[in-house]
Amino acid sequence: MEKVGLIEVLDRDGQVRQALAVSAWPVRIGRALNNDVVLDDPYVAAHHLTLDHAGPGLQLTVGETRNGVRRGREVWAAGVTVSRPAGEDWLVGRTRLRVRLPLQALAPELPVPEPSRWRPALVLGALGGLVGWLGWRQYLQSNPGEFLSGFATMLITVVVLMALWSLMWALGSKLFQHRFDYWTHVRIASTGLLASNLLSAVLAVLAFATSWVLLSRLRPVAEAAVIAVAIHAHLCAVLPARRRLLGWVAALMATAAVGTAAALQYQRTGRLTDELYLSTLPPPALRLAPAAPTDDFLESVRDLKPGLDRKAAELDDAAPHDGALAED
Amino acid sequence: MKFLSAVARHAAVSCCVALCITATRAQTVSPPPPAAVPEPGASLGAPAPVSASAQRLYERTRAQLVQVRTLLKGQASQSSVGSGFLVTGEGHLLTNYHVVSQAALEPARYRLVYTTADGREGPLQLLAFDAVHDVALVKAGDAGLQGRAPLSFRPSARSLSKGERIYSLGNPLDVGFAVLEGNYNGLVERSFYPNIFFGGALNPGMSGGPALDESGQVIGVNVATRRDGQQVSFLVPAEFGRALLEQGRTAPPIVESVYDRLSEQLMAHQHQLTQRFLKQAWRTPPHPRYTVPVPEESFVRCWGSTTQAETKGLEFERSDCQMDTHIFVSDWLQTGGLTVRHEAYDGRKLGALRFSAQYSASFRNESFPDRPTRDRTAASCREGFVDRAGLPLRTVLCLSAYKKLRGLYDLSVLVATLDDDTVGVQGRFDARGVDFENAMKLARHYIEGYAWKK
Repeated sequence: MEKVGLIEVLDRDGQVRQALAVSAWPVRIGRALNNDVVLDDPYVAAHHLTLDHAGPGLQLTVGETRNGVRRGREVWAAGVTVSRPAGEDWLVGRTRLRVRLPLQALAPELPVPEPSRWRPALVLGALGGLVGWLGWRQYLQSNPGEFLSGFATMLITVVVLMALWSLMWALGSKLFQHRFDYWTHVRIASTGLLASNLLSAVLAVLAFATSWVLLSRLRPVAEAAVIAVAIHAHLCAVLPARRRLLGWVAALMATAAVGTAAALQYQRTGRLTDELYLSTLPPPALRLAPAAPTDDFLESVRDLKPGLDRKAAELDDAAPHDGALAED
Repeated sequence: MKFLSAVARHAAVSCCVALCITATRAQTVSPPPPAAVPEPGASLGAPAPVSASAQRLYERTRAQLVQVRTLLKGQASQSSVGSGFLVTGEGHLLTNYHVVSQAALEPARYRLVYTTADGREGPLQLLAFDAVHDVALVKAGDAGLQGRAPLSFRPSARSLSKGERIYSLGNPLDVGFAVLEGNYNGLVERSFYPNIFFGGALNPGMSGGPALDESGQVIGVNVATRRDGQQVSFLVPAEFGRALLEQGRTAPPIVESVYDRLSEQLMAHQHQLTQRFLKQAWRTPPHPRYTVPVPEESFVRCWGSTTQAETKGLEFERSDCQMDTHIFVSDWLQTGGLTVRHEAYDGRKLGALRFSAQYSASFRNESFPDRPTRDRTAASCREGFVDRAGLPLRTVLCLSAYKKLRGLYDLSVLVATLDDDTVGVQGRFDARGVDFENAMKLARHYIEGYAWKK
């Protein structure tokens, strides 16, 4: 018999779980056995809807159902008849349906994705960059002859943590994408960690060079932003269809984390950031800002007095005593 | 050095001043069980045999000796105990400021009482105090001590000789009145204010008790002991007690919190300290490249250290100078001292980049008052590059303000030289309890101590 349509039952990821050929219109859909298409969904009524071919599209008549038929936020209640184009997703009970018609234009064939030849290079590059950075930092902090022992310990720690982190995300990919995308997550994690470290180091050196200490104070924010981007990349690898929503989620999470940390810091110390003063002292050749005479520097210190006096006037008998903080 | 007054929650008893070398005050000593146990180094357990003189002196002076107790108002529990002694026939007694500090700072919560050797008790009123020298003048609030002959002060013209026998009296660890023998060893060297070095074992609870010569005249007031030594104790010279008596004998009782008076005394102290410190020229340690500020050791004590000769990494020489004198304000707060420290680094074995990483780590490894407390604000800082006649310095200046001692600040200045890839000096200067203008003067003095070596 000639196919006059195809009803597709979709899973939650939008993949076709079942396709039912239509040989004649109208088609009745519901849970009762006398329907043309029987859905095994407790949220579907006995005779939930009837579909008919009307013009270039479809006519949908909702049967005796309390849940109606939904499309996005739109709900068609029992007894309603609407004309809809083919190819839309409808929610019948908790089952997603889509109808294809013979004259409906087909989307072009998608090429089968082939693993990029650059993929191993990207993973190795990200990992190599991270190991190189960690080695460089360890080299800077160690004395001659003491590099390897310290580096080995640090490397093992970072590798184990990175492996566990990537494994967690790869399990997410397996769950939602049905593929164990471990090395993609390794690449994202190592790139994110490397980028946040590099950005932090560059900001510290720039803060020293220009004596604009705000750059150094902003390092936690910059690191949080990079980590948020990395987490967004992880999420997109797990749920690629929700890229935009996940972008908002990552941005909101980063903002909330930075805001909470700043609020707690302010409550504890009266400052928004942890850093009381710039402590990065690169080689003197990197200094661009001029050195001021002692008088000018001390004149700038005088600005501190009104703020200190105001805070001193705020007696707080609930605060710990001076010596008690050492016991914290 | 530890102050010898003790707080009941921690144990026992008390004695003590304004010197403080190694650390903890007696108020924070570990609590002994009900039967108080002396602390290590404060060997009450094996006193020297009491000589005939000690026995005679104790018998002569026990009527003038009292225990000074601070009680929580509303209950009879004692919060701290010390000692005191009669200096007039009208019931005036001398003790230490730190013995009566709780009642002086919080008169609404605490009250003072005396207990004599024969068990008589009565209220005490605070008339005057000198927190800088740690003496206080109190008076019996009843007639319980009237008519008793006071102890007399040894005339200042009659100086003692080193090694002379002297006797300290008090109520150590709240176990009973006692007399302890020791020797006069002159004044403590390099102390900002004169203090007598007593070669004897003072114990918590003896704070405020008298130290007598062979003839029973008062030469000093028990005040402190060194925790890291044995039989190294300290007395406030009697002249400060005598001066306080003259000044406060007819004063009305102090019924309000003494923070304002304390501020005045600390203000005067910091003016004197700043003046004397600024008059001193910096010593010049033998650094081949820089002039580094190291103070004269007239009232600070400096200690030096260096890296092992065979070190493979960063080499440094360190100098750490600090005043022994700190002024007791409360159980939680001491102030009024200076410290000057520097580290000269040589990183030629490391190379420029490794040196800068370790130089930064050292610069980072500094602590400042990070959080506000009941007593002072958190530190506020300014930082920048400062030019010292061509020598660039990274300079951080932090201040925190006292909350109840108005007009006083803690100052910290952190400095790092920035002229060489593999060599540098970092230094830190701290002044506690100075006014803003003096803080600026001291900061300038310190920063200007750095220069190229000519």
